[in-house]
Amino acid sequence: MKKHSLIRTGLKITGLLLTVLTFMIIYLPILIILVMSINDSTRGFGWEGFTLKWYMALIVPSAYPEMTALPNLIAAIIDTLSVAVLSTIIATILGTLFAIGINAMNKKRRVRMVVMNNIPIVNPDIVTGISLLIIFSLLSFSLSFYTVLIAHIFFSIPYVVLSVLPKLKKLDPNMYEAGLDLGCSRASGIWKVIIPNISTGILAGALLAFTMSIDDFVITYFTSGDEYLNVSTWLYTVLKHPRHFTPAVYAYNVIIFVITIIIIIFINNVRERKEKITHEKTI
Amino acid sequence: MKKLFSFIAIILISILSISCSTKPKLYIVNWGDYMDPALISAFEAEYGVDVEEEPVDSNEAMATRIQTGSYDIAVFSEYMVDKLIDQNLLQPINFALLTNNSELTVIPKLSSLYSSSSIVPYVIPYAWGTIGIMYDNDKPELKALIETEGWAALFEHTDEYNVGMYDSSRDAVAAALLYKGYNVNSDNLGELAEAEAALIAADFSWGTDELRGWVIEETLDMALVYSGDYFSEYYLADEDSITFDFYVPTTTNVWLDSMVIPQNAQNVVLAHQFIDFFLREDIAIANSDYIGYAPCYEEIYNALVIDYGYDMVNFDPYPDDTIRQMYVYGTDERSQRLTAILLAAKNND
Amino acid sequence: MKRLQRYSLPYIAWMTVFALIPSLFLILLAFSDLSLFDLGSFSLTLQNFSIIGLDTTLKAMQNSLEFALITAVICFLIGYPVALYLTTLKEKTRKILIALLIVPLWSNMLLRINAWEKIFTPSSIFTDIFGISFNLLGEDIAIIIAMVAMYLPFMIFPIFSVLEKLDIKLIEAAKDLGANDIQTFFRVIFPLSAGGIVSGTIMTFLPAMTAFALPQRISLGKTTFIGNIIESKFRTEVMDFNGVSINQGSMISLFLMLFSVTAFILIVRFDKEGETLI
Repeated sequence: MKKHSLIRTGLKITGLLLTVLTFMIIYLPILIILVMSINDSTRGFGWEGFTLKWYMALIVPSAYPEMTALPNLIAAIIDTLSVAVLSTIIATILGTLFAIGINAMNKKRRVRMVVMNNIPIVNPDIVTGISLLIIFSLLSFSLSFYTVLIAHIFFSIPYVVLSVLPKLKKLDPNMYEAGLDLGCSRASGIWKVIIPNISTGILAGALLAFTMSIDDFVITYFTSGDEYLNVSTWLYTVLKHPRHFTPAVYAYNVIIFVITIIIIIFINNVRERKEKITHEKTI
Repeated sequence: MKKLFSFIAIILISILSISCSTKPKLYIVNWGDYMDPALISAFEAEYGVDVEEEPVDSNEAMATRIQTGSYDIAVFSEYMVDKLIDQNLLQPINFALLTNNSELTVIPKLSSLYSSSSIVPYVIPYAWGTIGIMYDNDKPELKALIETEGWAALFEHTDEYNVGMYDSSRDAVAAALLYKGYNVNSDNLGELAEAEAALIAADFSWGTDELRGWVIEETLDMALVYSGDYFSEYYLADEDSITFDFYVPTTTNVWLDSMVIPQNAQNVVLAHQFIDFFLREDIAIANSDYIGYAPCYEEIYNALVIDYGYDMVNFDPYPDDTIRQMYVYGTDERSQRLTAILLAAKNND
Repeated sequence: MKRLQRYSLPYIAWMTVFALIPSLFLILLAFSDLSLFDLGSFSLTLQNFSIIGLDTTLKAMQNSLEFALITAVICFLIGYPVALYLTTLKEKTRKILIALLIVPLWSNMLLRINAWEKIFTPSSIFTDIFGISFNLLGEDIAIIIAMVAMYLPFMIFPIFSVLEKLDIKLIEAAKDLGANDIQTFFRVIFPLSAGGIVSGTIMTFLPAMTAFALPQRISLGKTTFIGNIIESKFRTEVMDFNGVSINQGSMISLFLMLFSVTAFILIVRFDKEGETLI
């Protein structure tokens, strides 16, 4: 018995140490980004004192001549956010409908559809990017904002489907039929009966789609022409050509980071409260 | 929900309404930050036009742009101009439309490098410079080594030092040819084989514009760098803490960037007015001061050196007692040979 | 409820257009001289196959496979104990730690790569903060550290999610039958977490193998991955008016697709509903 508890303690300590190591290596770059965002150095070669000017530069870019430089970071941020918002909305709507359809199938067909759904998730980004590049060329779409938008919808839908499906599974199938019996049309049956019950899944899917979209590099890189840059492809260019670099991109990253954390905490609180209420109801 | 829809509407509108002004528009494709934006604004105000400038980061990317789109002005390096003329993608400059050109004289040493070339009728020289070795000047022995050995310092000491090479076939092979004492435009298979062997034997780090940053951060001890890249770091750096220097070997290559007008330009007259504007002496001086590279005209050069006090070593790309060469495009076969050499060199570390 | 099935039909059409057709076309491009930008007559050829035999390509494939394998193994060696450790914690702590593992992923990947460049550079912001100086850029170890840091969470999540769902009763039953901790682990817990391990390995191995920005930046261009060659074939060389670069690139991509198809078959075997994927 004693030997066992010794092994246990040993394993526990190893686990703890490795967990600490894990957090250290994944947070180290985040710390660097944070420090760079408040570092008063344009080229970022070392610490040159505290400043908030990179945050100001994002808020009032016109006051900072370096922000008008080409290729332009502000334009890249606007392009990133526009694609992220539009692709999230479209992918969430389509993905939810697809998931509702998949959920209504028998088990065999459902599994087949889920397998198909997972292709873009497992496929390396570079293969997805090339595939999309090829289909856009075949359809003679010239690479632009719109091809990037389609690409982002494409890679976001599977995540929405995967987030929504488990919630649908928990849903009582009779509820929808009951809704129809009570006089709902099919569409309003979905809207009034199904959607409210899977809203947390939809929200989670949307959030996932949004964060995937704003951070995407590889797929955007292969599906965008020269005229479209999102923050990632902008970074890839300016890291090679540092005269166009501005540390404001660190500030942008910190802002997005903080906003995402706030949204997650908010959603978690809402969800917990909701679960609490349903819990009390069932009691 | 309403708020959400109005948000989508705003985004859609902002996407669709990418400025619908009726002013004539001049489209320029240029290297980023390679023209003073204040002077472009001044041109817009003076002529009542809009100037749309799009940035690219290589001659090849710029060449693709002028083939797939319509631009009125582009700024190419000499070898690409050479190739584009062959492909009929440029139109000759109509010198009759320029009033300021006759006021300026191209620096004779520079003009001697390309005056017999076919590019002359197509170009308005914009800026020029050399390639050289940028190095970490914290190490006195490194400085001595580079100054005595020149190009050999770059190739023969990759075991002791971290050395960066330009990740472009034309420049890497040119450096190797210079090291071996051959002309940068050599198409002699034996000489190219020697250059390839030299590139393969050395253990380089590969980059383009980022090389100079690596030297400043001391990741690299020295690297092949364009004089223009060195200058932009020099101007940005805090004067007391400059930890890098630039050495131009006695024999080196000269690059010449020129304004050209693509064959399919829509606003040819306006393009000439724009070029003429940037040839006006005060404008040219201000622009050269902004970009910081050596201007191609004697009048402008002298103004910078005398009135603005530009006296740093290396600012003159072609001092006395030095030898300078300039790229020509050569044949497609040679370009493919250069690409193959670069691939072999990068993969044999 | 059955009627709702029709909502999934457009999805099949959508996938056909954006996944199936391009894959078939990729195969056609790889085995022909068809020009993607100038569709017209073409002939089938095995000529593009020669790109695979080039020293450059072979070396890049070797690099990709080696680095990806090492990364996946290290991620597993660190990730499994961490996932296991997390399951032993109180629910609240566990939730917070998992959330904290996700948070760094919301920072732009390229910016995180850039941060690693700063860490490995001798004279940089990192040195100014911590007073330690590394000179690792260009070294293999730097690529591995950065890759492990980048992909480790993707090993931990799927393993954790299977371990978390493990039926405690099974473990107790094993103990009731006289198994000690070690036996319980190797005979019960470990085999039951196979699904998570497979997903985790694939989610670290594939991105590491196909990476191109990370090795390019961290190795100072010294180490070429297969992704760098594909990037060059589809983005750079196209600009150099090299007509067959797309076809050669397609051939190399086919090679990559072999791996993703294998990965896919494994995932389908172990995790049909894709529950470990998010």
